[in-house]
Amino acid sequence: MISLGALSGALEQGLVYAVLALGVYLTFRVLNFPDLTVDGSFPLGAAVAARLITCGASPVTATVIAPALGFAAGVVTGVLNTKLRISGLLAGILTMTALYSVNLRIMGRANIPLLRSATVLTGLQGLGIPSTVSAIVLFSAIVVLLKIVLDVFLRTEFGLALRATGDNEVMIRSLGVNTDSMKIVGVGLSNALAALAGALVAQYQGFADIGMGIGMVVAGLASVIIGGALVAPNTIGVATLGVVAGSIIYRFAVFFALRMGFAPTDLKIVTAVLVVTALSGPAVRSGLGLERRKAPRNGRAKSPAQNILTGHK
Amino acid sequence: MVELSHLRKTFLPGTSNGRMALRDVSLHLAPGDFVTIIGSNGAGKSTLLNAVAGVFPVDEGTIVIDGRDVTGLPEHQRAPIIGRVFQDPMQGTAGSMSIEENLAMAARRGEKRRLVRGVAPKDRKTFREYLSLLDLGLEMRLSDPVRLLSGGQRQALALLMATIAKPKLLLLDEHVAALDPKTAQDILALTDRIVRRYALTVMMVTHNLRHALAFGNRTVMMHEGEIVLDVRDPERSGMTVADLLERFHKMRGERLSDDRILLEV
Repeated sequence: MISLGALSGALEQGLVYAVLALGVYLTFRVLNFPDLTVDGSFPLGAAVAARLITCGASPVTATVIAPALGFAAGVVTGVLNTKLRISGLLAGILTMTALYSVNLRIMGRANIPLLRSATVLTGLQGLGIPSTVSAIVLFSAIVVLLKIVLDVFLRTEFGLALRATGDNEVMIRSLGVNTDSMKIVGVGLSNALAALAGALVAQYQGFADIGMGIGMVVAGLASVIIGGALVAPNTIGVATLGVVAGSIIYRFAVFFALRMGFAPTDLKIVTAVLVVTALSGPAVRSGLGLERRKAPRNGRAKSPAQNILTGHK
Repeated sequence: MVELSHLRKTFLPGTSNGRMALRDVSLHLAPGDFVTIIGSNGAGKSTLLNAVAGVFPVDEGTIVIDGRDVTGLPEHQRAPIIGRVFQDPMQGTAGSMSIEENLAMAARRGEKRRLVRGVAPKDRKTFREYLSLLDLGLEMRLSDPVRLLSGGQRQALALLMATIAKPKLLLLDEHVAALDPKTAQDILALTDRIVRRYALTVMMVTHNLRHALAFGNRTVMMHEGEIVLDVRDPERSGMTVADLLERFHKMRGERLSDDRILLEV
């Protein structure tokens, strides 16, 4: 029997990690920028929140400061890429590597437990919301709010320029947009979301750990890919909805993988195989001659984001 | 309106692949001038347009547009006064975004991008009017993603986007070369209509001598990084393609080894 508590646990995780997935969506899909900083900015958010909370800061303050530092981490990657002309992948890896040291400095040790500390979740329970649903209530509210804000943002003048930077850089530059700034801000926002997710996850699971960022990009990517498979992301609102749904489905898949007997440490390879399968699907099918090759006539055959994901031009 | 003075540009200087793409090019355009630029492959036509647009800095010379020296400005800072249409229809539009979003980005050419709604209801009305100029029915498809459009439709949209903010200078870089002949004619006719309507100053690169003479009020021929011929109306209006080739040969005092690479006639 699967207990209701276990299922709601999967839902809680799906919701809280949806914050991270929205960040990954912003770089990989919208900006067409393969940003790996997230593996460092997610634990950065956790480290900042945990340290602030154990030092006596209010959980809300801690949860607000974490994304600000995540933004800064993303800005570093963006500057490395645009101003110093380091490739996007390498720029992210460099920042992520540097963040490992930064995170350890912030935490002072490899693990900070928060089980006895006040968190945003215990704060909610103080308002009379029962502990069994407090996580779902809080994370749902945050995800819905972020999704709506992101949808509105991506339809502003600035948001249009950001999306165009990922779609057609030459064109938007010819319209007077500084694409370097767009990338820096976009990668910054993505990592702000990752750090926010890290801060929430640390409070949710009751500890921050130096290793908790490993594989976060790939997990976020898996959610984005599942979301893309669920819905035809023709409009921003549908696409972000798909990302949130993808994150929840991914966590349920993880839940069932664990029940099938996979060890928690095996989950990274399960996720990696899942992402490889999703990305290679079209290539494998056409390699076997199972898919009729379509010449790209009107526009690109693939979205630009698929191009960077698969390496096809 | 446009004063290009003694432009020089060498690519990969100091290497065995070094190539002088522009050698002392000067060109002055009056407001409303529409100059067509012809020349063989490698003559420097596209290099000239890219230099004006600011894709790369020139080695020497100055570029003044509408009284402003833009020589040292990067591309995105020249964009407020320069509209561009590229050869590849995919290059002038963002395929994953809707028609109205593309137009909205173009309408804000050179402006600061604010955190306000990108496409306002009153924009839609303006966009519908603009799009109806094209006669392609696109005014009914404002929210369609641009990738659903044909190459010709995308190029028509790109042309509208390049001109919607009424730039001081319009650069057309073989903007019909990738289209089928019928569509190319349509886009050229549309170009002419828009240019006349807004009295734009235009530099148009073309490989087609007929187009070069049929459009604009002035034709410039480039060869090996130099302007070797510059004819204006009314002298130009009486010229034929054969005259143009003849003038070119006389001026060079030689026959080109291969006329086929020069131009398609």
